[in-house]
Amino acid sequence: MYRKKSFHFISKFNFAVTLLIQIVAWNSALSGQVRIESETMSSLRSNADFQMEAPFYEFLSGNFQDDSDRLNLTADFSVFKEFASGKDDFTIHLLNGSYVLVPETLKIKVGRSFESQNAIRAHMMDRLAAEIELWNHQVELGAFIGKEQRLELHQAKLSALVYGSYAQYITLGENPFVARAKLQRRNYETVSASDEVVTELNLQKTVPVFHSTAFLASTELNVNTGNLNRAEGGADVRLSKNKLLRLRVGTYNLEPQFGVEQPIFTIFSQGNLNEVSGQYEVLLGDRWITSVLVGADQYQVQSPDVSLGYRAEAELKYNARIFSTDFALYNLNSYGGTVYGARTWFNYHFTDRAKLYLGLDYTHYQKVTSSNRGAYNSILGSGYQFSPSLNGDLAVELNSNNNLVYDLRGVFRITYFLWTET
Amino acid sequence: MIYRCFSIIFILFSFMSIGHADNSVQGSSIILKKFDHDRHNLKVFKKGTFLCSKCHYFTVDAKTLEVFPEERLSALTFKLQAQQMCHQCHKTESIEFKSTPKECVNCHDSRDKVAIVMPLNHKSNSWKSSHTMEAKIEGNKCFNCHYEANCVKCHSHRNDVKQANHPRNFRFFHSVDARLQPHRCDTCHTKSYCTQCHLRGK
Repeated sequence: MYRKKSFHFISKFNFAVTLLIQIVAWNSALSGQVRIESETMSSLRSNADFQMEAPFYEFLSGNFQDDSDRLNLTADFSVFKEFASGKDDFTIHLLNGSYVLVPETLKIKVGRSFESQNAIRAHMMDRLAAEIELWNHQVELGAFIGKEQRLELHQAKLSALVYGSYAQYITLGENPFVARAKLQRRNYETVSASDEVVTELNLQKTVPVFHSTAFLASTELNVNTGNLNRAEGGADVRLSKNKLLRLRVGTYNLEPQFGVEQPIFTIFSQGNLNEVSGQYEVLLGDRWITSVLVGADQYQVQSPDVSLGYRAEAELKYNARIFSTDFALYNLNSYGGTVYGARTWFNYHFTDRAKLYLGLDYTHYQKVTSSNRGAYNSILGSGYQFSPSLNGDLAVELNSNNNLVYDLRGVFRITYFLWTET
Repeated sequence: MIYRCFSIIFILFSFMSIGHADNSVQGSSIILKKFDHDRHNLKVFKKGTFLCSKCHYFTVDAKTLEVFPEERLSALTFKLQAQQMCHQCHKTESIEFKSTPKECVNCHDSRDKVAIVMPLNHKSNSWKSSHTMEAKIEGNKCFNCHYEANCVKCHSHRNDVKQANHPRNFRFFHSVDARLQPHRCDTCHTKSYCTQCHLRGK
């Protein structure tokens, strides 16, 4: 399932950094807040070839922030093992630190990071970055240089050298204006791929209309080709404290690039994809949330054919201390077919520590390939809180679909959360 | 492999041996226990610009800085509710308090406490899909409560046990959804992810 990777160098580097983190964590001179999350899960099931599978996953993450707010360390790892086939994998998703060199002004960041807010089309990146804040924190300027990593199932590792800079301006007050701009260059290692310079501009303005209204806009432009990759706009209109109207409109056109991993967009669309969606949501008291969402997407498949698809979803949630439930109906339609479905979820705490849950999901689909079938998914499980930090789950899944008429799975999961201070 | 094992063991051991995994503290601590008056004396109150009367029922003589208790002090310790007292400095855009730590987790230091102060938009049914633009525009604000691993949990972790991003039935109708919104797939996947199944005749 995962391809094996040679991590000899990284394992040693990781070992060294882990020791460093350990030393820092044990040093009583450093006081701060520690957050640790561990999620362990495994499943026993049969695959489509009627062979038993027993995948095991461990996801471990941690964060340390010292009391002076100057030092911050973050790590995130995942371990995979499939006991039947013997495949295993180990991935470092995050391993980075930041330090405020000059209080309230200059911050240095180093390590493997996801960079969701500073990079364009965020991916894991081994980077060195610096940030400065000016003018009473209203202006933020930053720059980074790094090696981008894209790790995906059975995907040839694609990496690029990335240089980027970003700037943010925010006004003060109850209705702030936020502008965030990014400029980024990717130098691909593949000789045949051309370098890519991309810029992104994001704007947000809150206005005191109705209860509150926020206008948002985001664009992404390929500077080399002049192609507008993406332009999105929207409004979150809070009609009252309990009623929300969310509107979004966007146009997308990701270009294929020879020698580089191609976006899935290019498989289907030969031009701009235009999208519009709206959602109306109502909070009924403290416990009920109901919403309706509709959206439409239009793009050119192959000249002169144009695809026009829509989606609709209605959802109702009830959330109380002892009992919670969720019920949703969904409908999708595209030139690939039509999908109708209903899903529901029940969660019941029959003691302070123990709970039972039941999930049901039925989907009926009719595809252009004339496939006209249903797929059924159900899960019945119980959870127990061994302590405020430690929870265990044991569940049974029963599914029925095109692959397996009877798909029975056993699932177990243990989660551990620790928020503490050193 | 041995380095991986040792790394995991060291990480687990180092974090779990840190400080006090004292569940009773997490369960019973109240917000005001987080308040360190001595530290505030040193960093804020000592400068003479932040008077006792801001939080307490004291009257301060502007010239002599002599403090006189008010009658209400016999009944109430504080002028404001705890939340208002703390937020007037720690959750304000005022230039006067620009240096004040603003991260929510400084005081709301457990998952349960942070969940209580969850913003209203997080409770939206579609927050998972609509947080994209918010994260692009003002992603730094997320780190008042979250840390980077929370992004990675959905965007980078891959497992087929927990139905985190796609329901179990998605495999059977994803062709319809991919033709409806092909640009959405690109958030996490690329073309080669499709070929691993589709070129193997699956």
